[in-house]
Amino acid sequence: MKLICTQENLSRSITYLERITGKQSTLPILSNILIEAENGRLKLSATNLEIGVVVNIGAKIEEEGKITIPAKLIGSFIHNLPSGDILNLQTDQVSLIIQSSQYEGKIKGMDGKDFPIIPCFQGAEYPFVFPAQLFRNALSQILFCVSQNESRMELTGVNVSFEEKSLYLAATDSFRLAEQIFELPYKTQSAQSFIIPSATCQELLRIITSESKEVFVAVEENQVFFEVDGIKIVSRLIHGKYPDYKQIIPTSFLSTYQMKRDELIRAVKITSVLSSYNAGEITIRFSVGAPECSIEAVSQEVGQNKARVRIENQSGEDTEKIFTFNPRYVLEGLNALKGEYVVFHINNATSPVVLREMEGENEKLQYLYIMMPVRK
Amino acid sequence: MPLTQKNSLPNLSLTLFLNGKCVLVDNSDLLSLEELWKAVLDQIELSISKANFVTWFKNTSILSLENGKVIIGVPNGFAKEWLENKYNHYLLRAFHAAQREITEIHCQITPDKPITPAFPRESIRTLDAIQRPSLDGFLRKKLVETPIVRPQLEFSQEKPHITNLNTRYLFENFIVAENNELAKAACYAVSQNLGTIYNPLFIYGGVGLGKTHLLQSIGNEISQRFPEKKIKYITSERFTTELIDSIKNQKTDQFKEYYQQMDLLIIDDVQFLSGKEKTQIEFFHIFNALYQLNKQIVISSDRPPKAIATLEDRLRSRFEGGMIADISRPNLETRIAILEAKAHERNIPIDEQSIRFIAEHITQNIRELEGALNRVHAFSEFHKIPTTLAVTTRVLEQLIENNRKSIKSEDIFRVIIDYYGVSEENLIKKGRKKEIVHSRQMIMYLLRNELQMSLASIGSALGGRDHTTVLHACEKIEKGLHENIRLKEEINTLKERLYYDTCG
Repeated sequence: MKLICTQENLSRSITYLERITGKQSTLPILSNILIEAENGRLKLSATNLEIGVVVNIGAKIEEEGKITIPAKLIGSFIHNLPSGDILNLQTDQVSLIIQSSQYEGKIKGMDGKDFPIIPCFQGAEYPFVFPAQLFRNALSQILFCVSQNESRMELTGVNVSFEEKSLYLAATDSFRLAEQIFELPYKTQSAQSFIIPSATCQELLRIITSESKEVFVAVEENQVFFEVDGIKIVSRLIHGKYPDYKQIIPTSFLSTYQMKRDELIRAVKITSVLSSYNAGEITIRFSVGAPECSIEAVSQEVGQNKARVRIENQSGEDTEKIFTFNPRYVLEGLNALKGEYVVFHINNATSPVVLREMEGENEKLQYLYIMMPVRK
Repeated sequence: MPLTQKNSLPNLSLTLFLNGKCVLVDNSDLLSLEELWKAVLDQIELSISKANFVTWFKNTSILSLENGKVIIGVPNGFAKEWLENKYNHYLLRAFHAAQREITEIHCQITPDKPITPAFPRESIRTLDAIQRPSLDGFLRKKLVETPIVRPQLEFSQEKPHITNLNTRYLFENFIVAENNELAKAACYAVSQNLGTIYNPLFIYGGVGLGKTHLLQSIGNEISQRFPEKKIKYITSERFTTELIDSIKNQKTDQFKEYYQQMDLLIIDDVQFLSGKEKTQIEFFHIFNALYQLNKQIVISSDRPPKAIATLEDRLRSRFEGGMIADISRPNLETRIAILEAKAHERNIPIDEQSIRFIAEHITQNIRELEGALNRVHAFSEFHKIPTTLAVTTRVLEQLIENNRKSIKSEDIFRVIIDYYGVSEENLIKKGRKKEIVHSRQMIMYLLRNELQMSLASIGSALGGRDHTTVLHACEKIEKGLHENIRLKEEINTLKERLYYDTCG
């Protein structure tokens, strides 16, 4: 193998690949990156047998061939080379020789023929095309809700479902739930739904850049294929039935309160200091006729405090309401919401509270965050 | 009541043979595919490295094999590509070696099997941050006080829950007689008023007298009437094993929470908890948590709580706090009734005399009674002769003989030491502590009555006591037998242990 390419191209592709390598120890070759020069293209691939990523970059191929190189080594070498360098890559039996203007390296690798074959989407055209920026924002707004608990596999991923022209993304760990809806430019032909593992979503978030336009998606045989800017990702899907989460979203509310998001974030952060952050709880109290809600935390060991946040707008029943929350869930939800204002929709202390963002004068219905008060 | 398989061997082997034949015909394809794949894997394992073998052949199977075309189920797309493109020649060669000519190999991705957690899901769910924080640091106290926190977002989902109940055990097929009517009435009452009247319910009685039947009947009754109630039937031995596993996996919290969410917890053979201190502590906490929530607890044992040696006092007092009912040995009439019911239930033709003979000679336990009936039935069926008294006598001759195994004075010592938890030294030493005196008198009585030893030799066996002491002891127990039913029961249990070797 012999080829010439730029440092930027190679370095960028390796950053996509090196994260997924090396997590599996049974096959040593999995901590390597496969470098292939064929049909006039340079192709780099990596996999941990759950996710596979293939990147094609522009290069001048002088001699075809392939080799696998430990991802860590080649990454550290290439990333530190001065940008703008032109690199000469050449194989020598089981080593890769890299030459730049001032630097030269020879890294020992393994034969490329032992590298796993990464499944590719065989169809002519991807059945789904997601708008890349919307998809990326949606993922970043819901991914934190995904359950880490492997005992319910179906909750460890993001659920994707379709309805007419809308795409629904949802994540929950059974304590809170986030859902994002966005319109697709066309009507989908299939009503299928599938669950993408959270690690795959993390990878997608990194690979979709702010310049990306479209994300091509296909689902086949328990696998999902993505293609973004020429980068191909294949991942297993989580097998299982996602809970019918729509039934727990309340449709009517007794009261609605609108508050400034940053004030609320600060108040929750400050109060949660005096209730241990992870397991503690804070109380949010709405009083009759009061222009503000109070947020309190009491810890017998540490102390207690109280914050007041002005209510900007209020509608519905005006009665005294007290909720107890895990501050982490409140904070993460508030951070995921966007915009200046946030709306609390509440019923009573034992039913879910819905948080939404505002867009101008109106509520934005695309994003929804639900959390349950802690039962006393 | 379970069959004693040992006794029904002739019959059993016949059916097994027939069944075995049927099974073979039905599953022959499946079996051979599994075996074929195993043979193929054995071949391949020799030719590739261990790491490769584990990576690519884990969770694979043959899905179908037709006209030289094999479809292999694989867990993911990577394995599919690899087997189809890289390992196809290994596979072809291995199939060839296994005498199967294959021309085409295809792979199909089969979804991974859902992981079954060691404990049902909701117990794990409640472990997360919604647990109210323990501010005072008494985590255990908190856990007991607020044991069940419901999940936050309530998705409706079917949760598989293993009750361990055997649906054969019902109140309807339990034969009530004077020896067990109190226990049956208590159990029935509990099944009608779960957690509100007798809590805990403690049933004790000897081996094979129907404790398990009654216990399971409660569970079955509840599960029929209120399918949504969470019921758990578990033997204390299994309970201990689960606890040990949970300690090993550092999941004791899950273990506790799992049990603390039961509406009805049935622990069988609780005497086996004796001596297991950690299990007793955990059980104590689970017990308390359930008790405070008015959840029903039913416990069985082979002896009253007082007689379980090395049971912690706090547990003992709790066991005694509810309702205690005993099941004693059935009398002759009851035994006949049971035999008749069993014969009727299973359509065994047997005459009255034979039933009477069995009932008269097998006195100790109901399970054995059933075993004897099975044995007689199997014999007559096998030889195609009607069940008459002569046949019954012949068949059971040996069984009855075997029942009376010869015992020695050491056996009596061992049983007494084990039952009362006293040391041999204390028995022999001089000392007039009440519990020692009682067990000493019991041992004298048993030596006298079971081994017909002379008063003098009993005295010398117990540290050179005078023969009048022995005589006094025997007379005292003898007298007590007429006045005290509990003492009679105690003697029976001891005898049973002596002759049937059922010490726990």
